[in-house]
Amino acid sequence: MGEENIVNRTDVLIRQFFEAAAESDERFLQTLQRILAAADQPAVGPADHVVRAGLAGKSTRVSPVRETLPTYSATGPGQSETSEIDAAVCSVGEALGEMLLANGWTKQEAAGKLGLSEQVCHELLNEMMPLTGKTARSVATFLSETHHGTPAQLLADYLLNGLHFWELKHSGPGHTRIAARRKGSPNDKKKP
Amino acid sequence: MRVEPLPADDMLPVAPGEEHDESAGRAMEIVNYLKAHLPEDLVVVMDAIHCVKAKMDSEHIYAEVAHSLMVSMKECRNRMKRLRRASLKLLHKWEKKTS
Repeated sequence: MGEENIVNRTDVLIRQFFEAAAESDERFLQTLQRILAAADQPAVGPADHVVRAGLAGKSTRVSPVRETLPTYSATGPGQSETSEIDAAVCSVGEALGEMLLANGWTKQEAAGKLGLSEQVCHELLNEMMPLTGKTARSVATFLSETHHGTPAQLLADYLLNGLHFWELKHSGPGHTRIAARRKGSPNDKKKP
Repeated sequence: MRVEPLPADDMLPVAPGEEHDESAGRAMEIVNYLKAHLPEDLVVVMDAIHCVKAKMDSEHIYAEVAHSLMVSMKECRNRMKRLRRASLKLLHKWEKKTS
């Protein structure tokens, strides 16, 4: 019975790990830490990989996970800079892609659920089409009504931001640059 | 009152939560799968997170990881984002593979 509880606890943790990966970086970070700690526990037997440190009640386990891993020097592969593409903020295509992953939808299923044609869904995913007001509104409305997860919210925000930007861009000449700037940026200062 | 020191080979019970977990093998399987398929720079991030003391808040973990990788906080957050996205894809693959 106790053993069953332990199994369930790890299963719950694994389930939480899946959910966290689809949610936020912060939650993923914390769950990943717990998964790594759970994986650190010996799988063969309690006596294996356990080294008594000689102090009362303290033991140092050598992780079977870490044993198999290569070690990296300070100037190893971890030092390479992230490319500009990786560092760029999430785009509509990426947000939609995450939404598909999070829900385990295929492109066809997503198109059906979002009320879009498969072609439009494909083009949105691959960022091959400009975002039209109609598409943005239909997808954002659908998402905010039916889903409450972070990826859905993210996508809805992006779609609405994109639409807002598009409207500003087309509302008159000279409005694009104003719309693209954030409030409080140094460029907002008036010229003398 | 004199307190006798505990012998080195004490047989004290293992603290709750530290007990042997047979299903830890599954968690280890996931971790190994991720580490085998993730790019090397993200595996390094995972290792760095592993080394950070548990139960710290996210900001402190980011700071520790950034320090150990000798990168900026911004870079650390970018890598974390990449790690999460790449892990999500791999987790779906792993689920399909094992189901």
